[in-house]
This record gives sequence, C-alpha cells and structure tokens, in this order.
Amino acid sequence: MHLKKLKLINFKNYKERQFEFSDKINAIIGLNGVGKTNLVDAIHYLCLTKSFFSNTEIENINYSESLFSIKGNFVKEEKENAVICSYQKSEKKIVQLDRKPYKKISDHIGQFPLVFISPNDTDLIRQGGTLRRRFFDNIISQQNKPYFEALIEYQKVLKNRNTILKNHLIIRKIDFDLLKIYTDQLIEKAEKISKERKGYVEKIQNQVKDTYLNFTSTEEQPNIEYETKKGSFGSWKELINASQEKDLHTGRSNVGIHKDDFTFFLNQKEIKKFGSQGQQKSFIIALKLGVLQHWIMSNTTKPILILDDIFDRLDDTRISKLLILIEKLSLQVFLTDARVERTKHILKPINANFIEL
Amino acid sequence: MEFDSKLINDAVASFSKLPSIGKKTALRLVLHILKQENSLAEDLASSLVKLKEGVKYCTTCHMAGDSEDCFCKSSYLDPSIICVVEDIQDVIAIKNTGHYSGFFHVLGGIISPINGIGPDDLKISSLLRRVKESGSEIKEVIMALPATMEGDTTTFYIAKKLQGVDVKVSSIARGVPVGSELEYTDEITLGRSIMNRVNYSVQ
Repeated sequence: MHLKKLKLINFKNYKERQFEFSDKINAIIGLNGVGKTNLVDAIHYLCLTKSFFSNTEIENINYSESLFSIKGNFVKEEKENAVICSYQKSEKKIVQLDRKPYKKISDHIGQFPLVFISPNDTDLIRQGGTLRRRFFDNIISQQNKPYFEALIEYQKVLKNRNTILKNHLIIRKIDFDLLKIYTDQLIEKAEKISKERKGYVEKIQNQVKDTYLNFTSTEEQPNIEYETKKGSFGSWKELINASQEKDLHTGRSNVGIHKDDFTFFLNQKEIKKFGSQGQQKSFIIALKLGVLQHWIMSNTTKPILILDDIFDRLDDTRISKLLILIEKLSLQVFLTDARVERTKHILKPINANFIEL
Repeated sequence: MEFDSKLINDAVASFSKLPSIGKKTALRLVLHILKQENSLAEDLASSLVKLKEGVKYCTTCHMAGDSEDCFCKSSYLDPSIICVVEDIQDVIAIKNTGHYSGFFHVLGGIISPINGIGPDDLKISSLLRRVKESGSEIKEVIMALPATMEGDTTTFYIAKKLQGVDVKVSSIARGVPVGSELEYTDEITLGRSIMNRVNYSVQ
C-alpha cells in the first residue's frame, strides 16, 4: 500500500498545498520550521484519524482559520482510495472513504496501516505505562479488529463500573446486581484483551531481537515482558472478584487490563533504569522495526513507515544499517531531515524521491 | 446569530432547544410561521399546551395516551406475553410489525451510569411487580432493547432480577436485515447471526 497524492488545506502551518509521492523512499528536507514534521503528521492523521503530536483538534488548524482538511489518494492492492479527514471548529470531525463518511470513525483504523518512528519515542521507555499500553493497543488494533472492539467495550464497562462505585462512596448505596453485571463484563473483556496482548508480545519477540542484533552488531539480548497482575493469580475472574471490597472502599476499579504494563530489558536488565541513551534509542528503533516486520509477515497490506528526524540521533554506521533494513522491507517510507546535503549524501546509494520544502 | 427583534430571538431560542433543530433550522421555522395565517400559530400553540396538559401516562405500562384507559387494558391483547422497550416510539414500531399482540412495558430509558441513569431512574421495579403480581399469568418477557452494550446490560439486569420467578425471559434476535446482502453486513452483526443461527427444518 502507498500514498500517491496528498492535499493539505489549513493543516498546521500549511495554507494550501499538494504533494505527489514515490511508492519507495521519500525524503522530506528543509530548514527547521518549514513543516516537515507537520507533513508526515498529516499522513499519520489520514491513516489513524488523529495527529501523532497534538491532543486537541483545534491545534491542528492553521492559525486564524476555522477548519482544516487533509485529502490523500492511496493505492492499495492496485485500487485507488481517496481518504478525506476534515474538522471545523466546534463541529464533529469527519472522515470519508471514497466520498462516503464513516458512521463510526473507528472503522477506519487498520485500513491504511502506518508505523511512526520519532525522536520522542524514547518516552515510551522512560515514561509511565499509559504510553506503552497505548503503543501496543494501537499496533494490535490496526491488525486485529475484534481486539479493538473489545478494547472500546472494556473502556465503556470500566467507566460505568467506576461511576457506580464512585456513587457508592457518596451516597453509600449500590445495586449489587448491577455491579455484578459490570464485573462479569469486565472479566470477559479483560480475558480476551490480555490473551491477545500476551500472544502479540510472544510473536514479535524474535523479530525485535533479530533487528536489534542486526542494527547494533552487539551481543546484547533485548527482551519484552508483558506484565499483568493476572500472572500471580491465574484468572481475571478471581482477581477482579477479590478486589471488589477494595473497589467499594476506593470508589474505582483497582485491577484489570487498564493497569497492565510492558517492560523492556537488555541482557535481563531493565532498559528504563540501566540502559544508556544510545541503547534506549536503538532498542526503540528495533522494537518498531520488529513490529513492522512481524506485520509484513502476517498481513497482506504493507504499512507506511515514517521516520521523523531520526538521523540526528544515530551514528553513520547505524544510519546505513537502518537504510539497508528498510530497503529490504520494500515499503513506502517517508523520512524527514533538516540537513539537505547530509541527507542527499546518505541516500545516494538508494533511489529516493526528494521533496524540498 | 442576533436580530434586532427580541421576539424573533426568543422564538428562535425556544425552537432550537428541540432535538436535531439547530439555530438555522429554528430561524427558518420561525420566519415560516411569521409569514403564514394567524391560525397556524394559534393552532400550534394550543395543540402544544393541550398536549402537555392532556397526555396521560398509563400507570401499568407507562405508555402515553389521551386517558388513563390505556390500550393495555383491552381484552384482545394476549395477556401471557409482555414486551419490554426503551421508549414510546418502540411500542409503535413493534405494533406496526403486525407480529405482536401482547402487552408492552416502557422503561423510559436504559441503564447508563455514565449518563447518570441507574436502575432506579427507570420503570424497572414496576415491571418486576407487574410480572410477579400477575400470578404466573405472564409466561414470557420479551426484551426488545437496543443492540448496544447499554441495552445488553439492561437486559441482563432485568433477567437477573427475574431469576427465581416462573417466567421465560427472551431477547429479540440480532442479525442480517431482511432484503440485504451478506457482504454489506458489518462483521459484528454477521458474527452474531452465525453464533445464534437458526435450525432449518424441511417438512
């Protein structure tokens, strides 16, 4: 799958602009602040219906304008699809596929898959579990629709359950039959979700290892561990039921897959605590490329890969190894860099399409 | 949108309080009424006031009607089945199918704590009383609630509350709409209709 054409209107720093891309490697170059990252962010938006960086839609609109739109023409299995995402201040955002708006925007997720590698990615190692859960949920959801549905339902049940638990704190009254129904629904979805999370981590383990070794030429062994409270208990049913007393006291659900985490290791030592900056960066790139390789092996649609500003953080040997790895995958790549001459030099051996902003 | 006329502004504000009416539609309606004969406005106003004052809710099934003599009191209905629905328009929809001749029970909503609706805010306890007090004349409770998580939760809840009562609880089937192609049916619906498939018998 690849993106052939892109048209931006009032998206971030763009007023109105059109682009055409190659189905191989596209190098977006230009000085700081010309909009390289905004361009790849627009591609992220088209594929996943949200920005990689901003949390509110208003931030995506060009200053002083009241709406933005992104239009992209994808080629997927030799057919062309037009995707339009648009948002107008104080209205709902609209996502259209071939001129037909989605009833549920979430139906779009997974149709045009994408993997994004950015310099801020080491946050994934250093920050809290929310980010790691979001990363894995995002990747699994794009490939596994039932997982995505279960995740949405889990969030709904959790919210409802927490609401009645919270009310119990205030009015000292709770309908135990209703609590039981929400608890059972929570258990059912939690079992499904944690099974998929566990299975997914097992599946990508080897790809991440291989990529890391290939990329760094060291003997260090990376490892990902899926951490869930369920492990020590055996089943979510026992665990969640056992927590009911505590839940009633605290007014919220204390256990469940919303507390899961993923831990990254290098030679059995936690990277978060013991890894150097260089090791963290290399691990993240290996993790994302490993995810990508597993994807290509198990799905028919090849994702788009975005490398935002990562040359700055790597030495020359790693850059050339990265390029070799990417070339082998033969998919559409967008990379951004601020140093025009350097990029042209690095990409000399590869036939890349340069876009100078 | 502001006008010099306070009267127009007030009318627009009132109309736009209605569901699915925005400011622009409200203005169109207001200007339309202004252009017509006086009788239109008078009829509209009086029918609205009469509606609000006159409509009675049945104390048994909670259906709206002109008098407390609700249609649920009529003798031609099958007294052994009762169909539980979310709202008044669902009663009309099910009646129009021509395949149902039993009683109804209007809950007035579905359980959704996030939106501040708990079981006590709905007509659930009156349903339970109605079933229990019928002295096993009611044989079946058909749950006809929306095919959403909230709808399912409400169905579960009522089924749970009816445990131990000698009554059958069923739920309307979910599946492929009549006259539609399989390939256009969404995966979840199709998945459900495969799980809950129906036996086919050739006589």
